[in-house]
Amino acid sequence: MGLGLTPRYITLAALEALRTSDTVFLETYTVPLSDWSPEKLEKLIGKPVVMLTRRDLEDLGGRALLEELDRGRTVALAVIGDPFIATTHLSLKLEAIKNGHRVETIYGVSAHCAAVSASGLFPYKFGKSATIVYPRDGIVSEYPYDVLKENKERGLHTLFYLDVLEDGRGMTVAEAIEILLGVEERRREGVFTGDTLVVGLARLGCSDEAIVSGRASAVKRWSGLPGPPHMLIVPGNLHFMEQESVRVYSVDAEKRRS
Amino acid sequence: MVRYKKVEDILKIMGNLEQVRNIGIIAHVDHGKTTMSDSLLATAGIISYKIAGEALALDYLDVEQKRGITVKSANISLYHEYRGKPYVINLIDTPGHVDFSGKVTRSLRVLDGAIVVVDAVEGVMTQTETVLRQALEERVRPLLFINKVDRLIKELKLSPSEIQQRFVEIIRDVNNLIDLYAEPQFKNKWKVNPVEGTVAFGSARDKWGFTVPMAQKKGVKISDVIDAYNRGKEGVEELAKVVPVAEAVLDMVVKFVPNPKEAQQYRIPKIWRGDPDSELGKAMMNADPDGPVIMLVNDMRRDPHAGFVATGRVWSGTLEPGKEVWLINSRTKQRILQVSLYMGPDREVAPRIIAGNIAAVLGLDKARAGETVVDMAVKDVAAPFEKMHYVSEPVVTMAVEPKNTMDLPKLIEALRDLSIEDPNLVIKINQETGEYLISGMGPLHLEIALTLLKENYGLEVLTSPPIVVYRESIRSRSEVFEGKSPNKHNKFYIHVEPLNEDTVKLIQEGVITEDMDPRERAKILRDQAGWDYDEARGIWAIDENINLFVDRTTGVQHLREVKDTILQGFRQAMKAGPLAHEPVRGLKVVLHDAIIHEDPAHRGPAQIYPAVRNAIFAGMLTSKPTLLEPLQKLDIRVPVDYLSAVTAVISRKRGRIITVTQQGTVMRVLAEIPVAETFDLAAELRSATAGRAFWGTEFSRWAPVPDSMLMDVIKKIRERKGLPPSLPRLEDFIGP
Repeated sequence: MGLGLTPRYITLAALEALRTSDTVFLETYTVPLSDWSPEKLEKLIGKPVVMLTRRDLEDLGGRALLEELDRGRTVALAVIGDPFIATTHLSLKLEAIKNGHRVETIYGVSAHCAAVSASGLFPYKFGKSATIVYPRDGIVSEYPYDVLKENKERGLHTLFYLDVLEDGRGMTVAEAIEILLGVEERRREGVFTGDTLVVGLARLGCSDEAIVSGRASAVKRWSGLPGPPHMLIVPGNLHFMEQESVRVYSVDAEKRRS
Repeated sequence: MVRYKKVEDILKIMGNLEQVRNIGIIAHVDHGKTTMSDSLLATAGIISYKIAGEALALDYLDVEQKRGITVKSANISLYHEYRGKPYVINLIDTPGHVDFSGKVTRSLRVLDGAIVVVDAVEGVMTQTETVLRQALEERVRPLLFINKVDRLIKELKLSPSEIQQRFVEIIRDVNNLIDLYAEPQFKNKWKVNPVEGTVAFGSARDKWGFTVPMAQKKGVKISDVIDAYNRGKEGVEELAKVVPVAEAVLDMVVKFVPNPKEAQQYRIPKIWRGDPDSELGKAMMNADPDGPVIMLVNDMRRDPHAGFVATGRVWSGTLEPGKEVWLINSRTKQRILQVSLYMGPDREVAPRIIAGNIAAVLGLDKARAGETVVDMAVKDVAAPFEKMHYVSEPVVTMAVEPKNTMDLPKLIEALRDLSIEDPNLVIKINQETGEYLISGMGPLHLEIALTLLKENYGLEVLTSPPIVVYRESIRSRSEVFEGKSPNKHNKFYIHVEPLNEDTVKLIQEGVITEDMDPRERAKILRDQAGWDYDEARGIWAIDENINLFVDRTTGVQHLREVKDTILQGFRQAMKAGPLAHEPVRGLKVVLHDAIIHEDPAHRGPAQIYPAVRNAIFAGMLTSKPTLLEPLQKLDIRVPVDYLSAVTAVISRKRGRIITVTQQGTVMRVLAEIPVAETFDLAAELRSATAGRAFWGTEFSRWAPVPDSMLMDVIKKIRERKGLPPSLPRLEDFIGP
């Protein structure tokens, strides 16, 4: 089940499911906590919450959760946002079904939807999404660059999720731009430069949410964004309405007014 | 002092290559190589004549003096006159103990001639054979010095004809080896011949020696030598004045070792990887001082005052301070700060060193032994010298820590220095325990490193007992296993099998490398190791422990994107196998198919490494896995009476006798014995033979631990490493 972006965005369906479950697990390794915390959730539903790490769910195959099910208990696995957008929990769902359990999905307000809404860009015109990841063991993934290139050629918008480090820290828009510029420097295909128009989004659904648009080099320098979680959109061809909508968030105050 | 004058004289002579020789001395351990070097030094006027026998000036590290074994090669320039003409002989002292064979090979490359020193009593031993073979492979011309002739007289009390007989035997043995290992065009030319004067006899310690032509000229006979010893100290000293050993050897060197210009003509095509017909190739073949700078570094050493000193041979061009040069292997530009030549243990600054000579250079601290240094102008066209082929692999490890914890940063730096100076010394950090591990080619090698830490860096360290390094391997081919990533979204289909002997050999000898042209590599593997050409074309990686990764997939989406991550996973898995976390050796890993998640967030290292490792380990567990242990070759000489005592020691230590041959009253036993059993071998052999056995050891090969001991050895290693006592099961690597 999805908890939504922040405590304000939890659905009635989610609350109902949490209250009727015998055991509530909370997973926090695929998404930064944002405004959520285990304590807030416990307070909201009035029962203890069991935290699950990546090791619990992946290396140990979610054993703790499946064992609870086998004992005949109702179990909620709570995820911030939506349970299946940009996560790999599908394997767990299929495993539970294979073991003869009934699985119900409670949809949540995901950052993916919020980003589309906030930007004002038409959902029909988004191409493939990708996560921009930190280099690990010296290996830089150029895949986001390839996705961007493909979408751009077809005039489509690209929504980037940003990596979460093992310690829970999320990547910032500035870091993401830096990584894309680094790939551009190696590949030199003119896909992403300092002049590319981007939309940066921060802490969607929180009271301090912020959105900014402009040339990549300017957005990278802009200090007005609060901390993560962040997302990045690189728009494709713009409808005049989309153009105006993006301009509302321009780093350049002049442009914002016109 | 004479020597200060000599620097200029020597530089002048160095300018005329016909008056230059580059030589080394090679020998089995304790056959008297260092004593020989000292006698040569004495005549070159660098240290005094009288103390040459004891001073061991070339063994200038205390540790060597204490042991009487030369462990570090040092370079010296000698001065010698022959028929009224002055010569400079660059002498590189090569270590004889085979624990340091990498170093020997490296030294050989810069020599044109080698004096093979053989103990008259012990004769040709294993290491004589090893180093002679290596010399011939590098096209280094051998000359023979039969040493310790005094032992034949004093210990064995042989008659002149018996002594002559002994010489004939040794010369025959050496020539058999030359026949076996020399290339056809050198076989006959390079066989040693006493009549011609390519063999000298003598006692380096007692400072006398002669060749047959020299003896004839001076009217000295073997009976005169016996007389001299009968007369005692005085007689021997007189003999040394009539036939000084240095004169015998250096005359022989000047006469028979080709000068650098001649030598480079036929050596460059053999030892340089580039095209000998190119302009660069020609400059090197002609040792052209006006050509582009090409230098091969064979030794790196830290001078406490000057920093790292790179020593090597200049093949072309002229080295001068201020010159910018390119380091091919480390791909960096550096500036030469100072050039010098060697005089005994000291470097003497020189304005320039020209092609054909040995030089010491300051400013090249990014170089490692084996580096090729070239002119900036040819940096893009110059090929490096062939990679060194090492015959030995590190087989013993110990953990070190400073006695005083405050010294840790100092220790880390010292270990780094040591591993730069001696690339056969491997330094690693155990990630789990934070221990510093040093690995070497034998217990002695490690002991020397510890002494260096103490004496050169003032570091007191605590050590674990030396531990034998094992390898994990398999003995059959596995089926294809599916390795899943923890998130279950990535899958790899992999089988493993043992690499055949031919492939292992090609990799070990550096014929097959990871960075070579894939087509060329596939052709060699097809022709020489029975590979399918298409499969060989799919080789992605070859790691340092001789494991190979092959891609046989077709059309897998995103595979290129994760190739580097897959290979990192492969390399990591090979560093610590499933049985006991020991390095894996001789494994062929074949990737047949893969399914890879769309998004990089879900196919990072945390997902790919375990997926690859799980499939490989599942394959290994089902393919008759075993541990390989290092075996040592033992070459023992012992009087007949003690033969059975020796064979008893060997069989008690799981050894295997290869051959036993009789040489006069002495038996020669060749045997193979696991390194794990050798830590107290010396003591046992000595007590079993009342100290009458001589022996040498060298690395032989990796062999499976006997099945009856396997589980016990694994258990002990796991215990030591703090692993769960029971072996992993197949289910631990493949999901339901």
